[in-house]
Amino acid sequence: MFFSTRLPNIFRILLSAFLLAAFILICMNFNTLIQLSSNSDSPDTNSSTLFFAEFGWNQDLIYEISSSDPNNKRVIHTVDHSPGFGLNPAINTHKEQIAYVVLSKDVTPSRQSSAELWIFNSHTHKAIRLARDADINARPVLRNDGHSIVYRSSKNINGSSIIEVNLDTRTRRIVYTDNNSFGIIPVGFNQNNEVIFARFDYTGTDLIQINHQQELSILFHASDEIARDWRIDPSGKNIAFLAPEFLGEKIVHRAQLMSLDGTRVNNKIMNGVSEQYAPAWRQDGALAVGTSMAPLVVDNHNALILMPSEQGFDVPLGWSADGNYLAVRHFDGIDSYTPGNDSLVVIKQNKRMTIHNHSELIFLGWNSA
Amino acid sequence: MHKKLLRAFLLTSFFIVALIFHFQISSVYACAFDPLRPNTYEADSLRQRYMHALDAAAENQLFPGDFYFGLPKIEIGGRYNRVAGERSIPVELLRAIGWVESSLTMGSRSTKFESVGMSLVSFDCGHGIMQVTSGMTVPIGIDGKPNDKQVAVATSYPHNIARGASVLAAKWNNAPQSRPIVGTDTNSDPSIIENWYYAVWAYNGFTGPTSTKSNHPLDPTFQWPRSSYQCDGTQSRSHFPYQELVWGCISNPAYRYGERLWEPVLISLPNFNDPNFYNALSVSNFRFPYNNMDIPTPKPSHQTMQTNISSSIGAQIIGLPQLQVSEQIVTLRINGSPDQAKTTIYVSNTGSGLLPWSAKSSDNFLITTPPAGIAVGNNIPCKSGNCSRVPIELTINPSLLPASSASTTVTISSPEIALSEKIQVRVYADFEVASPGTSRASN
Repeated sequence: MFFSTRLPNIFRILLSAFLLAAFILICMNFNTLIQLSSNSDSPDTNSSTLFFAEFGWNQDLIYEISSSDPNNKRVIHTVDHSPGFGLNPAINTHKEQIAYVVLSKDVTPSRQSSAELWIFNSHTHKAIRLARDADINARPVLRNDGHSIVYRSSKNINGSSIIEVNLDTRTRRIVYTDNNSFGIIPVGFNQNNEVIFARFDYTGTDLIQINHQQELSILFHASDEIARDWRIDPSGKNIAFLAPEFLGEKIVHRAQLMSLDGTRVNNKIMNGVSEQYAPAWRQDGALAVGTSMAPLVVDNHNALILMPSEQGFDVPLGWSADGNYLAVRHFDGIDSYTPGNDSLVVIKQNKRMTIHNHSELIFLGWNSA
Repeated sequence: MHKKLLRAFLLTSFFIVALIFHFQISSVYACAFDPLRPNTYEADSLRQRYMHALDAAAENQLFPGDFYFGLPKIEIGGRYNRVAGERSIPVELLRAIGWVESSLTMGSRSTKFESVGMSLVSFDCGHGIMQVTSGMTVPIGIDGKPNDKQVAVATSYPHNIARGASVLAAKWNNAPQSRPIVGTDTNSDPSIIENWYYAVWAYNGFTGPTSTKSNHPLDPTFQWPRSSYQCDGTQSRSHFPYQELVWGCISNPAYRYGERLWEPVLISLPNFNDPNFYNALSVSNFRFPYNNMDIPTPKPSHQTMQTNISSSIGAQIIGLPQLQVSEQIVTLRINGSPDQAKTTIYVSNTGSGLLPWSAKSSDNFLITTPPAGIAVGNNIPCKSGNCSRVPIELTINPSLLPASSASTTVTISSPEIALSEKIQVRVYADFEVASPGTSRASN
């Protein structure tokens, strides 16, 4: 409502500035808002490597660029795929490991077709196929230590299965099969390397944990509707996600923060009524959340607004390992209903770098140089 | 000794071949024509013929009055006052669906434009331009063979487009009994393109959130927010629910040789920041018959553009096909040279338009390849691929032969004409075998 196109531009700008200022003040007064686990031993390097894929109708190209030289992109791998269906990357990377699911080029181009799960080593340039029964729709998740990956299988047409592959032994196990709900998607691993997934049914969204004895427990009911964009922090103790709320006569997605041990940390990142976009954890435990203008970064002491663009808004994608760079998907529109065109942008403090492209860019992750 | 070895070798070879044939034929039928593939005609690369057929189908001008290929009356009105209306659907939807489904192609990728070649059949039995799956998953004719309707859908683009339009119309008419309606504030007027949001969703499957083939726009596996689909090959299709692909192609027409294939219409998607739309798509409402999912018309809304088509367009597209078959009697010998074990007959269309045909044997030991196809009339440009004189190869499955000699009939028929042609086929397979009883052919 505040950003209605009916308001004159000058009022919209003033109103946006006022709201942002209000956000910062609120957040600075909520130092205990987030009990984040601090990780001070993050690598201190000046340059990071960004990995992304450029979609092609029959073949995606995987690129790497150095944050110190963003105009120099280098193809490191090609991924052939079924026409029109690009790769779907894992939510995270681990060091030089990039995982993704993709419909092989011989498969019928359909979201129902079985996809392959691959892991690509950007250092050795070696790609290994891990499975052929993956679901192209759901993103796999790598464990933080890089020893394991979970993905959703497409084999069970009446439900969903989550499968874990041990990357050391290449053995796989069915973590959980669900036939009663709308579906499940893998979310990641907690600090004990237990699998966390989200389940959706008529009552909304639940976050669920499976322990090593295959015992299932509901961690919390995340929303009466569809909660999304789940991100577990580097310590495996907290999780951030988006859930819809009815605010200011609109439905807006707002960032939520919960502890994975079952106790609530705080269910709001900040107050306000405007919509928020995908949370992204920094290695030191700070959290970036997209707002109607620029990403807001909050830790247990401060709130910081990153460099905004002249127009549009940013959806955080992922931090570099050194915490200096945040990759975002920038939209030049107004909000989620009228997002406009999108591009891949890297933000460092007061600097924004757009990765130029001919077609859709798919963020894969970062590696420290 | 050598003769015995030779006989044993021949006998073993015969059984191996027979087994291969047997397993090929008796494998699980996944689609109407499996394991064979029918032929079709692929029109011009500018899709002009297809565009005319889409225009005609949208106004029920292709097969008016035909229960299967004609349009039903499209219902209009709210949940409690719905009545039968005109036999017309927005052509913009048909164009975009055709593009999303097949890039407006009737044949497989190996089939050239203005040629005859293999039909486009997907793994889930989607056939042709509109990827029609309803009624195409198993052969439903006599003796487990495809019926005439299946032949027409798989081989003839006017039939395929007309059937796709008919299926879309049925998805619309499923509301409100088993589907929700769009347009609670506009009397659910079917001439408003935005009101077809749920019907288009259902064309690909009215699937719920996080299912394997979800088309639910709030599904968490789709990016959010997401830019609109540009329909230009620069975005992965897996990032969009089906109806957004269609919406995107209506707003951003495909280009061929610098010309766009249709005029863009910047139609609106539901605004899920608006509780009127979001609450309707609540997970708690996604249960049959979905009567809490009714929504108003997304704004700004757009009326379908009236196409200026003549009342004779249907007749022009269909033409007046005439069937002619090259042979009346043929003989096959599987005890002779390899050439004698098969033969070829030819089907021609001596009239105009397209003649979809099927070749059905009265006994299952005779195999016709292809089982169905198209014969192109003299008024249709066709550069390659057996356009006017279409070969049909007849071969024998020896394992199914009832005796060492047999006769059967191949019927060449077309859904377009009442008369059919019958070909007598005589088969001889009187092998001399070492061990009586080891071959049915010797009984």
